[in-house]
Amino acid sequence: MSAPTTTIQYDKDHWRTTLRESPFHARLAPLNIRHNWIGWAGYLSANAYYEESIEYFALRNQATLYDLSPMIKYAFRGPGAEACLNRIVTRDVRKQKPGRVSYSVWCNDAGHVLDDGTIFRFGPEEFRLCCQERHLPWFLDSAQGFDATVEEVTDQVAGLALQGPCSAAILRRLGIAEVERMKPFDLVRVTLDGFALELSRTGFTGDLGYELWVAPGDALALWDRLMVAGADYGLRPMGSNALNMARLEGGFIMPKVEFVPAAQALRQRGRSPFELAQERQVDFAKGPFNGRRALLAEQAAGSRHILVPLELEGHKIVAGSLAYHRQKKEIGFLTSAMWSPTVKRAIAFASLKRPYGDTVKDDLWVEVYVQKELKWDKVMAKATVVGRPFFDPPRKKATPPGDI
Amino acid sequence: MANSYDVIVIGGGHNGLVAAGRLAKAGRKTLLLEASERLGGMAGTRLLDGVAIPAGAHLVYALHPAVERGLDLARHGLAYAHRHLPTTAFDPAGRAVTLDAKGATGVSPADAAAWAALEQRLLRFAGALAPLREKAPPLLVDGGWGDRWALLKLGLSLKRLGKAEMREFLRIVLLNAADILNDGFEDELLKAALAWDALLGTHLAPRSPGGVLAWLYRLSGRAGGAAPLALPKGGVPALIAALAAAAKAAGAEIRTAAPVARVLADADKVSGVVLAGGEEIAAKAILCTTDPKRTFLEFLGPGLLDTGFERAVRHIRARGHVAKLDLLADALPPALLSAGAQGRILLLESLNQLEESFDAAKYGDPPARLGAELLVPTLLDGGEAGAWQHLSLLLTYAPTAPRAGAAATREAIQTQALALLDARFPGTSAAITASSLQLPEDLAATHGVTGGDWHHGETTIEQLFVLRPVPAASRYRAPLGGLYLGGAGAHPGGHVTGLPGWNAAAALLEDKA
Repeated sequence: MSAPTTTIQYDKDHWRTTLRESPFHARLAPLNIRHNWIGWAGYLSANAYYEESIEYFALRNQATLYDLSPMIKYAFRGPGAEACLNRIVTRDVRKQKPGRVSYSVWCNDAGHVLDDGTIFRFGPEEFRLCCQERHLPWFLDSAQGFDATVEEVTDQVAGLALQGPCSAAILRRLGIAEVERMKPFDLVRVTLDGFALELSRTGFTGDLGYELWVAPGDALALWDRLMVAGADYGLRPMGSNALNMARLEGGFIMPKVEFVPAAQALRQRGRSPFELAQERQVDFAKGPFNGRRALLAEQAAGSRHILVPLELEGHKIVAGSLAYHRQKKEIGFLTSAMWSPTVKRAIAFASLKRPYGDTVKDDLWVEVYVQKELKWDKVMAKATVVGRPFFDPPRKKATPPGDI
Repeated sequence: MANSYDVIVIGGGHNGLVAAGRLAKAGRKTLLLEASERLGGMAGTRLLDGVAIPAGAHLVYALHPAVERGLDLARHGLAYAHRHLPTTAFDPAGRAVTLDAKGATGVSPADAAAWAALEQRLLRFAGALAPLREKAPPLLVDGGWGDRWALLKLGLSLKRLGKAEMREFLRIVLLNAADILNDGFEDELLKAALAWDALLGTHLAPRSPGGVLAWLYRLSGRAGGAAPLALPKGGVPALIAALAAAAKAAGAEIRTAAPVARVLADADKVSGVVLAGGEEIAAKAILCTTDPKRTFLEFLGPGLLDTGFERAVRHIRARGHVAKLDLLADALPPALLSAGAQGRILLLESLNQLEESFDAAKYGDPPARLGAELLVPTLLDGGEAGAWQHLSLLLTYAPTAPRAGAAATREAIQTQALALLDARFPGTSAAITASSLQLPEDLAATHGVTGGDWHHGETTIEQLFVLRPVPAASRYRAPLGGLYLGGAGAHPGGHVTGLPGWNAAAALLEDKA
């Protein structure tokens, strides 16, 4: 029994390209007139193309395109793919039918969240999982013993998020009949002018919206068709700044913002689903899954933290501000915060130490520092725990989706 | 399911029998399942040319007195032919060094004095570690008062060594064996003989870091009066017979030729086993004495344990490097008969020889100059010089994964071993009537031990105490309700001490599982 020898050919010049270009780059680059790029998972990605507030209002009133291609994607395939995924995530994947998408979190042995993402089920034995962080070693180890393969397909799939009240109308104009019957989290495979398109009614904006997935070679053709069909609807590209505003209004948590992914957290600084307002994601009845024992123990002993949606007095608010009980006792901090132009209130997610935010919800305050021309002021803003999402328009769920 | 038990013990090696005996004595309805036809595993018997010979271990090292007393093994037939067998090491020039209870002879007075001092010191250090062996290892963090008390006691027992000795302990505890041997001795043969006992069965060469800890770990088994190098009357298999008799007398049921295919469990708890033949047997708890990799990765269905736990188990290092050669002989040369009747024989050269053989073995090649331990149990156990004899040899370092294939490697090692015997005792190979060589991979196949590693996981610091076999299962309890780990892969495993099985049974009883 000798060790197998494998030779992996690496591209020796890979380091010359520090950030790669997305399949849509040829169209995005001229639009990014301020060269406002950041790196996202090794790709160039736009913070804003022109101005984030214009993009934000386009999202809430017209429609926007957001380049999703750098999103990390894994294909799970094979007769054991369902069981394998079910072992990884906390919800019951068996209940997810082909043609549906689900939101999921997954944990390590300690019950701390490694990441969250969406699972696309194309068929009985075919899944795709989209997320922020890279997890291939964890998924490969999790797949041992299951009749399933795991492959990273990030580079094999280009994606666009078409979001906003006009998004369904634009797809109608492209002649995609399936739009009429697609409910939220539905997933279809269609053909558009000869190329294959995967279309899901999903998004990260809390609005009516779709995500469109194609082979990288078809990316520019998809972009051009959408921009033509969307011209009359004010369709425009959107960057990450506006998306981040929309996702907070939509009540979505972000890895590295609302929690430190457990694989990067030292000294028990991970967070369990119970500490991230994801209780409903945990299905103890489904059988074994990663973190189950730790989460059962945590449920019995009580969690240490809680993530709560807050509304705050005033309009000046900053993420990272400390939260207090009775203006005295420090109880946590704001993970995300903004003035919401749509809700017309200051909104935030706060990570608090229980029982604050859990059973003790009155007399909560947030300390905000504001600078006015080099002079710092400190104000205590009253905070109220509210429900999620902050923004929940009926158009998000209406089926068939509204036309404009 | 027709039959149902309180506890099923998987594996009929010495630890399985010890656990079954203790559980049955405590009133648990206990069933022990052994995959092969014979009990004992690597401490049992096998047939060579129709003769029953020890399958693996030919000596008992530090069987713990608590086990002997607790199971009343003397009443069940355990008696020793020798409790502290002398060892004679020969180098190729024929020079001999003898090590026994009185010390070293055949070496310079300086070396003899140095060994007397070092042995005392090592035993003192080992004694400070010894209390850790008798129960579950204490947790370093997040433990209860019991853990803190045990750690405090460990700290105190190290402190009681005195300032200078404690400093010396901390200096050498993670050293390699060659460093302290070269510091203290001039005699190459003596150094090689001491390194042999320090490192036998490990994936450590004289210059590998951690050799001293492996040595201390082994020596700590001697605290409390355990026989250091013992040969039971009737050989090691007689210990197995006594353990089986004790377990049966206590009411345990024992089934051989009953290989377990799978452990039945849901997300929370085990419920029984399925045998390879399809038979299902229910049990409230299962105490597994197979090695941790097999226990967790083969017996349990996928997904029952968490990915991080399985990953840690997959990374347990278990690389055996000892080949076992058994020979039957008719008319042995008189020199061998007289040396074999004295005790254990080592055929060695130097530390460098061992280091070089390890180098070859770790890359999958048979070494150029093997080291050998030879025992003639038939002579030591009241046998007559004229009758047929069994020669039991441990050869190291043998490759865990032979590059040239098993057959070629077996032949290369056997040829070299016979040449080694003939060089020291001319005419030996001519007297051989039957022979059988087992490489580590043969031990793995016959006894189901990963890597052919005797110790079910190497005895290096990252796999000892609260880290054995992995942190999340270090106190005999698997992270699955009702599943216990009691083989040599559990603390304080390795060697033939009986303690892992004994302690695991105690953990199960403590949980009222």
